[in-house]
Amino acid sequence: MTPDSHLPDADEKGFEIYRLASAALSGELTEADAQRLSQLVADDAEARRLYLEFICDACNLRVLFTPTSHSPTPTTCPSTGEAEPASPSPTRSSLSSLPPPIVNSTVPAVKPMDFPMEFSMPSVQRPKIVLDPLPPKVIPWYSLNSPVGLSLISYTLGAIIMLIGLGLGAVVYVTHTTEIAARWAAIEDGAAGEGLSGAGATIPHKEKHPYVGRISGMVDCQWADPYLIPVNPRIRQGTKFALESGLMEITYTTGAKVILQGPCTYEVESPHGGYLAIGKLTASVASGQWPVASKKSAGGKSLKPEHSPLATNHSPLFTVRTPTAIITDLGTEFGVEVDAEGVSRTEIYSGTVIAVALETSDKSLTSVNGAEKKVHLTVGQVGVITRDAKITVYDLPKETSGFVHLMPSESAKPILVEEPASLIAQWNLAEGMGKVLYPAVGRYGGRMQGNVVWQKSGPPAVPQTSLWFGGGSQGTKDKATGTDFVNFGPWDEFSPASITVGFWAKAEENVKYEAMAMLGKYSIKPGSWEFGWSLPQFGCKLFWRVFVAASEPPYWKWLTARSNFTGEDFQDGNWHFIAGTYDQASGIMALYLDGELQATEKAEPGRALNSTPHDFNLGRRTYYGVPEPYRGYLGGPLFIRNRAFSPAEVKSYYQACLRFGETLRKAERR
Amino acid sequence: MSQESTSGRNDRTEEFLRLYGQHDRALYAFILALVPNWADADDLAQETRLRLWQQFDKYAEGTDFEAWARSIAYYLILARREKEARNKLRFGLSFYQAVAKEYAAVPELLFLRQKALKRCVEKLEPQRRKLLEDYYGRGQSLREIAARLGRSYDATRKALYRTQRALADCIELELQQEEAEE
Repeated sequence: MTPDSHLPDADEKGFEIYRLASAALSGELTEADAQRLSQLVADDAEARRLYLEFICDACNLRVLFTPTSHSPTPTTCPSTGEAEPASPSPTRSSLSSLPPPIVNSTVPAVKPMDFPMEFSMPSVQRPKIVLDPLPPKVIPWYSLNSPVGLSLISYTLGAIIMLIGLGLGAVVYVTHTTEIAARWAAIEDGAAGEGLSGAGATIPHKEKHPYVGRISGMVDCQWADPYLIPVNPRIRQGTKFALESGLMEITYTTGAKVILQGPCTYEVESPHGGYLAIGKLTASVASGQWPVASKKSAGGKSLKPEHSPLATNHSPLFTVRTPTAIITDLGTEFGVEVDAEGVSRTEIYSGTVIAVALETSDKSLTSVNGAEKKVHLTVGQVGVITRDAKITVYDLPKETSGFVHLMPSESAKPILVEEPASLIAQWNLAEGMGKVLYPAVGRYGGRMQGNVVWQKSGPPAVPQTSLWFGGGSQGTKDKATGTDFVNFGPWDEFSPASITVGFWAKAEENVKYEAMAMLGKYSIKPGSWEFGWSLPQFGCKLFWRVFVAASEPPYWKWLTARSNFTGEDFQDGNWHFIAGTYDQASGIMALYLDGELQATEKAEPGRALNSTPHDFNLGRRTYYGVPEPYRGYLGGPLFIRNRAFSPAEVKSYYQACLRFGETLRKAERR
Repeated sequence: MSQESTSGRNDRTEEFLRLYGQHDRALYAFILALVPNWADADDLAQETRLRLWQQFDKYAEGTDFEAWARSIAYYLILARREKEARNKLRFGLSFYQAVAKEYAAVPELLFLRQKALKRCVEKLEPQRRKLLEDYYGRGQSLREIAARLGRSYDATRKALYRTQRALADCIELELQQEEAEE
């Protein structure tokens, strides 16, 4: 084809190129248009030049007007998110100093089936490139050559380090528990003649940290350490609490109850007791739950008192350790207070207690077995144990000493963070400081990247704190390069076959919503799932998208449920609860807002959610190509479950969050 | 994995990120020129990035990274074209060859026009600038823009074309002026 004989004049040609190229960019190209554009560009140098200029201008215009919205974000590293110097913009006159251009002959008329082959560039020294036969080889996600694989290696190294730490921690912990066991043995040996203990009285410590109790009440709780805020009502062995003020009741699986009075710091060391570093507590066994009875063992020695058959663990004793004493309850009620000097004081309200003074200079907690270092205290007595291991006993004064014996009936219970079997992971976003999101349930932490900022207000269930995402590394509203996000890693567990994901979000005023990825496990197709805002041409609507397996190529498909709730609706200054579900059996996915069903979509029944190991992120997609980073607030609880909630369950959860918030507000008013 | 090899791999990763960060925009423009569709170009850009990382061991340090990356992208695009044999919208092989050659001849085209374009956009009348912003920045379709303006689709398309044409003329003038000044 001779271009000049068939092509229109320059302006007409320019308009035609523009028309065809813009139609192609927006996906409106017809078959005839495609042929025409192909012919024009291939055969006419002027048309080709115009076409390339149009493409370059389109790229530059898109970057200019939406610096945050498209993949050509040259100043951002794809993985690190750190700023990189932009490429220099050469001038025309400076071109002569540039390396020789790649001449036309450098792009051979390649047949793709010729792979593998070398790609030679005669004018520029080039590396040899060997490409795989078609189709392109899929990079195994675990490969070192894969960014994902590399990330995994990083996580694995991190996990190994953490495991080493946990191992050391376990050694320390077991040693510590063993010492307490030794202390009990010593106590019981000493008390054997008094019929209080018997052979084999050791504390059954476990290698893992099992659940040993639950939080059964909280009133006006303020926390001294945000890392020690109780986010799960079930308490594992080793859990620490740092209460600044207020009351918190712990009910052990043995049936024992402890009321912590702020300010205090307490660690649940075992199913049978804990360590009070400072502050005040009351320990008790309710009447009928822990009947004390002595039996004779087969060996003829007396056995420890048995606890209630209602209790789940067989434990005869309850012990509170302090910096200066070990106070062992023999089935009674008593209070313990530790002051700033480490002096321990115990009051006995019923039954008997053995108090043993510790030589605080002896860090191994070796007891002093002399008679003067151990005392039996009975009801109505007070024992004071000083740092030099002196024990003073006197009668309980009439005036109140400030110990709380019963929790107020209206105490708030942490109803939100139960741990049913379906709960894979939950984060409460309640830390309020630091760069790590610790899991309330599950074992996966999130690392904050860029300039994600803690806020001092949050959604109803976690009102004291939340996260703000600025989008860009500077945390500003107008610079959103997608570097402000929280990364949790590419765990398969986050993509179960069926799923429910729920979280809280709030917008700030005057924030544009253009296809922002709020959170999700999504990278390049096929992803797993994500929440976000649709493109403006789709109305900036809230959407929930899942990727499921399909029976035909490309063997996956995505489903998107779009709510009528738009970005503008979102900017109402309120926190909103957003949840999405996908049920493998029925193939139904659903999007919820504030407990109400907004939209559904249906896949072929039986198709599992795709579990490709993309990273789970808050605030953007995994890859930066089309990040449209989220700008606004995210709050907890954020959870992932391995089954689809019913509409009633979603609503119930949302209402529970509101009730919990109301209870907290009532407590604050008191 | 030894500490030394881990360190070496980290260095290599940093080198890749540095090079890719410098050239990704030009690479994206190259891909878009060969696959003139935003969504498809996005996918291919991501696929190319993964392939580049996979093949980075074969990249010789100090050589032209962008040219190397373009060649890989080029073959990936041809590979995809082969797979889409039934796609009636696919371009002829000569289209890809011609565009790749043209782009390789002036790889600086994108950056040459970038600065000039920025200056020219500032000179545009507000309504023309708004038109470009709606179309490229907000991703609004011509029909949406036409509906908002109360104009026909063809009139809006021509208005956009005239704007871009004016912009292209302005860019050309700016480049000529720049050349003259130096």
